[in-house]
Amino acid sequence: MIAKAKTLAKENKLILFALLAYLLALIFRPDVFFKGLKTTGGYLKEMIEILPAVFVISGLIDVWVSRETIIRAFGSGAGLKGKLGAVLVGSISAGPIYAAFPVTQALLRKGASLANIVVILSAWAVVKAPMLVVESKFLGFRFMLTRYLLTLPGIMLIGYLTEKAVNRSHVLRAAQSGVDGIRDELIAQLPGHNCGSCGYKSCGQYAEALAEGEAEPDLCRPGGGEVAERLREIL
Amino acid sequence: MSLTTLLLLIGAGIGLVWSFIKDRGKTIESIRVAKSRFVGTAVEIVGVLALVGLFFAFVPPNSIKELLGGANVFLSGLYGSLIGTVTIIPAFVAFPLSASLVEKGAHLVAVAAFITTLTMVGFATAPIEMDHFGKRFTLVRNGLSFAFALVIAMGMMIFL
Repeated sequence: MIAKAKTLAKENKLILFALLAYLLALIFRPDVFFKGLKTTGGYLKEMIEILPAVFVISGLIDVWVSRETIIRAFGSGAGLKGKLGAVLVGSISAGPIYAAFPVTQALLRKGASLANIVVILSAWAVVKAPMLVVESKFLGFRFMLTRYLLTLPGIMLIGYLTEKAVNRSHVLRAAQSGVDGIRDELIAQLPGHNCGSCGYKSCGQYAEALAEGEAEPDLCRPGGGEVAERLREIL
Repeated sequence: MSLTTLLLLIGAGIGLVWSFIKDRGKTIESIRVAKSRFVGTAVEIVGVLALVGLFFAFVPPNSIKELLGGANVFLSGLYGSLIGTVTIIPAFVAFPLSASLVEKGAHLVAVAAFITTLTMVGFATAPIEMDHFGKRFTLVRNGLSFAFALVIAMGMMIFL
């Protein structure tokens, strides 16, 4: 019971900290409390508009887009074309950078290179067609153009350097921590026919049993030896 | 609701409908994946946003303006990138804000640094990023983005 409460507090420490900060503000600076609440309300509105769509898209990528496709488009062998594709994916997406994390994480699990993940993240944040117009309206066309021409090679270099400095398998492990993460990763490897030949109703239930350690990784008949091998790697 | 948000919603909607027509089981699977990820992240995002909201209620925008128009351009650029790092505001709010900063005497270099770190570097969102990609990746990416924001800002000084 106590141990459970402890992990719960650890997992939610950020929100607990925020609650504490607001409580202090309410006692000592009520004006700040109400202003902060109002600003946060505005943020939340933006988040609610965007996040459900973002997570639905990341879920669809997981289930539908094959590993091979992602490796071809965004893997380390994709070269400059992959980089340009990454800029494109980033720049047509909407929302603040935290909305980009779930989608890019799904791409990473499917085999996108770290450099391209970084490029997508940065482009998601910086390169936005409607924003170009807004920026040049307020700060001038020259300002906007100069900033973008400097930023584009910049984000590619940042991607390249990040890939050099960080070990991809470590990042993947962080991306998969927790049973939920492992289950999602397992689902991504299964064919998704929900044929039931493994003895479970759906690929999802089989993945769940695998993640809990209740099933063997060689039960998927349509996937055969190749899928069993990949499942074993994850487990 | 902005146009890009609308496009995103339409994109997700079309994707779902297409997926549902092709394979019901897979669609339900994808929604389960989406739901479990959403639940895992939403609490943390709310916490971050609440803290940033409180921070901005506490620090008046006027004090930000004073920092960005100093005599030392490099220092103003550095302040600009630091402020952009700890700030989360939608970019379409940032541009009018930047324009008013320039009017009040802020350097273009400082404003460029501010906009660049504002969008690319996330101090407040770092816990969420670590959840998705781990500590090292987050530190390296944000550190490099910060350094490049300064380089880009200095480049602006040469070209403008």
